[in-house]
Amino acid sequence: MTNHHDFEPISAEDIIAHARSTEPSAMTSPGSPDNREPDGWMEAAFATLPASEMFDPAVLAAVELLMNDCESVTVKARQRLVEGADRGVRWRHRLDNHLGNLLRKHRCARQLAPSDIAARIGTTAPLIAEIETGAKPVQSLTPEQVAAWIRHVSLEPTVALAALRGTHPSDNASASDARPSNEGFTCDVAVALGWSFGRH
Amino acid sequence: MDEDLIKAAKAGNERAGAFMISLYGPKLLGYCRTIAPDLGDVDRELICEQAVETACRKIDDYDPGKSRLHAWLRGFVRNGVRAWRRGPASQVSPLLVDPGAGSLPPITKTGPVQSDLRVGQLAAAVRALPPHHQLLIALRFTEDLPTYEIASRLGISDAAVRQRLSRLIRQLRTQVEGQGDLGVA
Repeated sequence: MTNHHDFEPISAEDIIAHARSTEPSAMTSPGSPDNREPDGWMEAAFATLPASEMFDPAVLAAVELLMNDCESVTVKARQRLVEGADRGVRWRHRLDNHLGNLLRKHRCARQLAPSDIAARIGTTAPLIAEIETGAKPVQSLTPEQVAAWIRHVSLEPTVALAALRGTHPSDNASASDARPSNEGFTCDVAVALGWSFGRH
Repeated sequence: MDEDLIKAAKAGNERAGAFMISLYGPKLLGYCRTIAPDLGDVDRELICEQAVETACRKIDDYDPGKSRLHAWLRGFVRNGVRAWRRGPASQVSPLLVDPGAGSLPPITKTGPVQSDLRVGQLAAAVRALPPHHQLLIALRFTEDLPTYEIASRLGISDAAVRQRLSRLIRQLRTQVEGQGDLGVA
């Protein structure tokens, strides 16, 4: 196998120069609209791989130098794009106190993978990821599993219960008042966490 | 500049969206036109609109240590185009398509059980290529550029790009097959 270190470049510009130098410049033509060599497996495989895991940083820098596409944006198109971005920003902001998001932040802070959580509480990693992003409700798990998850990532029960209830702890007078008003699932999680209607 | 934009988006700043589009709107639309010249303006705008919305939702996932923000944003546009090409029946929400997390549908053509192993082997084989060959692979398979676009940007002929890519693909296939005898299609 050829080792790229034999060809170690100095910079992104060197890589581009090397790619260009192997053949004299020639006229190019668009050709047929679909002139790519079809290779389903390889395309799908590349789609699953983050670029940072495959390419030298200098290669990625060279790609950035070559990816200089730009076009003028109409007022209407710009407005549309801004609206899309605004929706995303607002959505994420609302997510700040969402239980799945809090669990995700605490998991990441502890450098745990979704599979670690899944193994711990007896479920699957994809379900963990879906609950974290809000694609699936936390009620997809049992109250005991949710409680185990909360404990495993060391999320403060007061904060977790408030998020589950859809409110923020600061809305309450004190932590002891953060009893689950949402009878049912929240209450069951509180019990599984060792809370008994306000008594820790 | 990117850092300010990310801070603004994370803080829920009401101007973050406009800020992002000022910086990247023309580039994302231009990129979308490059990889999807067959789509109409309205469709491309829709893809880019969904791409920036998804990117803003997932801004916490962005890792500046792994890629430039522009490259990360292009990934959402690319996934939008791929979803579009798969057709209405498979146009999943862009929220479920994360370019950095490998969340595209799993490779099933030759067996999902073996796919992780083969994909890892492919990554290793690409990493072992000389950088100027990696560049071709990145432009073709990661950025989804047609060969004539690669040729144009490098100032070489389309035929040369096709020939080199063909050789590289054959080499990568041989290496992946050779390591695992997995019958890559």
